Amino acid sequence: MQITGVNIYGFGCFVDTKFNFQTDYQVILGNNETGKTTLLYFIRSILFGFASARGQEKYRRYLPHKSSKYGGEVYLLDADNNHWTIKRTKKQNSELLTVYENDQPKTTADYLQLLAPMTSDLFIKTNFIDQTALEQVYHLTDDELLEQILALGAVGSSDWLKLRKKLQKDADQLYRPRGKKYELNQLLDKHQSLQAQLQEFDNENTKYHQLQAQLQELLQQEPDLQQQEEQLQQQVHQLEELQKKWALFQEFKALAHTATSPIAISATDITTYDNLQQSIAWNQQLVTNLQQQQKNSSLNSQQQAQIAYFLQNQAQFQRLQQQQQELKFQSQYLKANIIPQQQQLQEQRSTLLQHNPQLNADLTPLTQQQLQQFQKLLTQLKGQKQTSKQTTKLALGVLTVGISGLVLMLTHKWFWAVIMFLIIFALSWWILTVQEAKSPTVHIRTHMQSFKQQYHLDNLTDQEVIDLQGIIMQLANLKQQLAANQKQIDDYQELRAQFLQRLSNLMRPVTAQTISDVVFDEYLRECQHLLQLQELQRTNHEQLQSKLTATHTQLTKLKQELAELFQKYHVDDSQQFEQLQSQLQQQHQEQQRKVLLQQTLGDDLNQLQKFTSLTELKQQLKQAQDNLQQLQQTLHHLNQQEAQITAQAQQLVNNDQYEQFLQEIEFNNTALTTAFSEWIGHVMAAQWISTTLNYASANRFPNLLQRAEQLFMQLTNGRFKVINFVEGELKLLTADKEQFDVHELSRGTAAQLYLALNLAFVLEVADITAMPILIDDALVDFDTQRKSNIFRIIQQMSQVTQVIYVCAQPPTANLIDSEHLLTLSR
Amino acid sequence: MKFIHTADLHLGSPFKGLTNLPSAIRQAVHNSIYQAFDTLVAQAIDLKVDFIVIAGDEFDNVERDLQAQLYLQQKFLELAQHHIPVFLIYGNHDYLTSSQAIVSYPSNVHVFGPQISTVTLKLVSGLRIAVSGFSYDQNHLTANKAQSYPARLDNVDYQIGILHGEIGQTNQNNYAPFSVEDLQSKGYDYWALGHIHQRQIINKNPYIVYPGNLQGRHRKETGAKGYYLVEWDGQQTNLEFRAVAPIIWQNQQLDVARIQDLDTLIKQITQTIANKQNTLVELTFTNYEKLSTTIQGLIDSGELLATLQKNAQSEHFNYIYRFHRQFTTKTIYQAIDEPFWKQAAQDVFTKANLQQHLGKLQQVAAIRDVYQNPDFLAKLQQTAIDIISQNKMED
Repeated sequence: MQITGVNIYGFGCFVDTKFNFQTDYQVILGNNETGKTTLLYFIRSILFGFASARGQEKYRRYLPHKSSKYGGEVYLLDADNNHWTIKRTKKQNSELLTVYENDQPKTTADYLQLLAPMTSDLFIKTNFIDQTALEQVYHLTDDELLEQILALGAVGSSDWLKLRKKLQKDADQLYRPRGKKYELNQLLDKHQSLQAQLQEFDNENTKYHQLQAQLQELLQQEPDLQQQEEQLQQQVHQLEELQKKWALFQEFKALAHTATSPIAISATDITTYDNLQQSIAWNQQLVTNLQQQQKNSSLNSQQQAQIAYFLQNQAQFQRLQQQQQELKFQSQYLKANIIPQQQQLQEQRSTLLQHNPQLNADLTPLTQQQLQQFQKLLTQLKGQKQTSKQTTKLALGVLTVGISGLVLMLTHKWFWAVIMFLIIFALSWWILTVQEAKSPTVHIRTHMQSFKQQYHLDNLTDQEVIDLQGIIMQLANLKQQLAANQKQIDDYQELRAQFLQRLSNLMRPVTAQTISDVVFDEYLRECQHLLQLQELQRTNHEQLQSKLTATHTQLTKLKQELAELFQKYHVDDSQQFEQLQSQLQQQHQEQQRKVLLQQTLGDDLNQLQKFTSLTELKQQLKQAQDNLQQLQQTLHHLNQQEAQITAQAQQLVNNDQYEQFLQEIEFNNTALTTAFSEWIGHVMAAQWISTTLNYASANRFPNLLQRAEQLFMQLTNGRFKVINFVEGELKLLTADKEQFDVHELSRGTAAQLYLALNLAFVLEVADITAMPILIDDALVDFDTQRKSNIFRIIQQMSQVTQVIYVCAQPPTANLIDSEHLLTLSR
Repeated sequence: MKFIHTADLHLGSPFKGLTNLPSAIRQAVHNSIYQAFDTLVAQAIDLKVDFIVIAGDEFDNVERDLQAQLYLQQKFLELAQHHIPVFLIYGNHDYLTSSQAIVSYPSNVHVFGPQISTVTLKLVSGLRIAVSGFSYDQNHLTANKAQSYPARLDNVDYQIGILHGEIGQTNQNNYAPFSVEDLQSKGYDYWALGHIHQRQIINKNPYIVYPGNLQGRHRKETGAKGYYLVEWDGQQTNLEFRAVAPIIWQNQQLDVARIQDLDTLIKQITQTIANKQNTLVELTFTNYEKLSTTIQGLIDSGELLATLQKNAQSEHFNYIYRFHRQFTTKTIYQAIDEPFWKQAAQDVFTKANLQQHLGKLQQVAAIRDVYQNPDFLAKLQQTAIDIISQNKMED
């Protein structure tokens, strides 16, 4: 297949650029930055796809600088002379491939079929040669170079070799048979130690079994010891009981020696004795009481004296009592009638006197005769002075009023006017009166005056003397009545005084009190009471006396009975009797105590009698207690052991360490197998690669070497003629039949050998795939002679397939015609 | 009549495939198997089942684990108090040994001996049940034991065969190999099988059933685990699966092809693994190569997993124990070289070649278990492809 031309829409520095290529070979010349390499990458991109944005690839994208269009067309001519147009563009991540065969659209599959077995990858590895492949030859060690050369039989062998190396290295990082620090080595170490631990892990079943057996053994011992313990506890308990009863035992022993008395007082007699004693005491008490009552029922001497005096003067007392009664009536009468009457009369008199102040209480009324005499005098007087008196008095009145009015007018004060009026009036009146006396009636008047004086009527006017005679009469009657009443009162008081005097005389011996009605009444009542009392006591006394007599009789009888009882028991008195009784009672109590002790001690009595002393008992108890303690310790120890074993067994049961440990081992196993798989995967992958390369070389080298020999001869200017592949090694023969091993070659010659073989392989592959070979200035380091040889090689290679070669320097002489030469410029 | 059919308790078994766990989760893991059986016993009492059948492998390793043995004894005592009989056989994991005598079971438990025997049980309802079975007395039994089971008894209402084994050919299988026909021919009503940890009903007439194990213990024992509650109404046998495992193993996948940033990744991881039950999750990232190198770096270094593990809750957990990176493997080599790669693979991925690399690693049992796995070499080649592919991408 040949590339006949390209149409670049936009790629790197190219925009809308077309080139036509010669179908055998095409040399493209150009200085740096003219787009030689870009052109090769354009072809590669259109045929196999644009470089991705990832990794190193991103530098091979050649996005157009000056165009929005990216891509273009490559024109192919296949073996059957069909024209193919391969159009590939890319717009915003979407790559578009359009293929035409003789202007007929074709599918991508058709296109891939056209390319097969060529792939993008293969094309890059075999048909796209640049300096890098050759350059690396100079960086390899001799062995590496040999290895590279020997591996040249497979596609991309140098990459494979690198990968193989890397995989081997990765594998070595995981594990080395004699390593320590590598992951798998370390996991193996851990695995080993875990296995060792697992071995050390006690067989839990066995241990559990052993523990159970031990426990059974211990448990069998237990009942026997428990029985012993019980017995000892019983013994200790018994001895402790004996010790507690020791004091009782001693008491019992002491009581055993007390004798029993033959005499006994019968219960009836004791009761009789008690009853008698009680009865005697009671009766005696009764006597005492009765006597006391007798004593209490007599009047005392004072009372008796009082009664005697009273009885002696009884007649007088009765008289006085009667008199007192009469006086009381009188007094009541006075109080009820006379005294109020007196008050009334006095009030009447006072009233009269008030009404007639000119009168007094002691005036005596005039007799008829006297009254006529005075009336006669008066008549005489009246006739004399009737007229003058009237006018004078009237003039005086007018004068007084006039002066008073004048004063009022002058002073404007009523007060002074009234005063003035009164003074003048009084003065005038006095003057008038005085004048009267000096009147001609003086004689009569004197007479009348003496009359009045005679009868104490001086304060009365003449008329009043006549007019008031009635009143005076009344006053005189009142005076008389008042005097009569007063007499009654005075009489009573005198009688009363006499009475009190007599009473006082009579009662002086019996009371120091001031004598009064109350005292007298009280005294009389008291005397009366004492008299009654005296009578009552007399009756009582007789009764008590009879009772007393009866009691005395009873007492005598009781004492007789008691004496008989004493006689029965040969005792003299109750003291002796009671002593005897007490003795007998004590004996009885001791007897009872003894029986009680015997009961309390019970069976222990026999046990107790075995001991001579308390010390002996205590010693035996101590011994038993010690024994018990010792046994209990043994038992406790046994229980502890049991608990310990049970705990151990329980721990085994609860202990999930073993299962946890198994899990730990599983964790390790997983890590181990994962690391192992990773390691062996790498090892095997590396081995697979090298084995494959060997197979490829061994298969391809025979063919490869024929092409390579020619190329190598060209490149070495005919120095080397033959390359032999013998038993996996290359032998090189010069024109002079001199033989070299690869490592005996100079580095330059080795590089030429490598290039020769590489180009031979490319031709080999190209023979199969029939794809053009693109070479990018691959031979830059060669000397001039050798460089011109390159063009011969290119021409030689173009016999196999189309070669497109880009370089900076033009070939020397006329080695290449202008048709095959395309010059690029900026 | 109803009974519980369970098997493969593997009491005392560690969880496999984990490298580490936070202590709380680790404790939950440790308790889980016991907890599952606790639940079974509690439900048996609650449901008043007539009896319980346990078809072998009660213990993961009977010789050593005292705790597990005493635990089971305790549980059987509990069932005894509720008058629930237990029919038990031992399997290949806990085959009869003399050391087992250490723990005795209460009288409600019938343990079948190494010889096939039949016991009958008369229920309160008057129904007569026969149970036939045997226990392993060695690790491997290559003989077909199923054929030796007695024919169905005439005078029973229901007959159950307990068998710990797997379908296979005599002498070609270590676990009492049998065929479905062998079992069908006996005329029993129910075959209570054990050994296979994946729950499955092999046959329905009569029922031939593996209840699976009670609690998954590694990444291959995924999903709900529990027992079968078997009810017989006099005519038909009905099965009800009852999940009791407190921890579920899950293998989840997450396609990371379109994931651009870490936040989205974490969010999607959280969504993917979210589960109401406690889970141990292996999370596989498919299209791993599409992830950015930065995120890949976080995953490859273990940093992301460590962070997620650190943040795992302990009361309710969906704990990722492993990330698995899955690449959409392109052909790692060119078509023109394919013959050489294939030729080389035939040389490289062989047991003999493998052993040359292993050296003293062969002494490690855990490693032996890995490489002696029959499909190990095939897997190893895939691993190699993954490794190469991943490394090539990194270039």
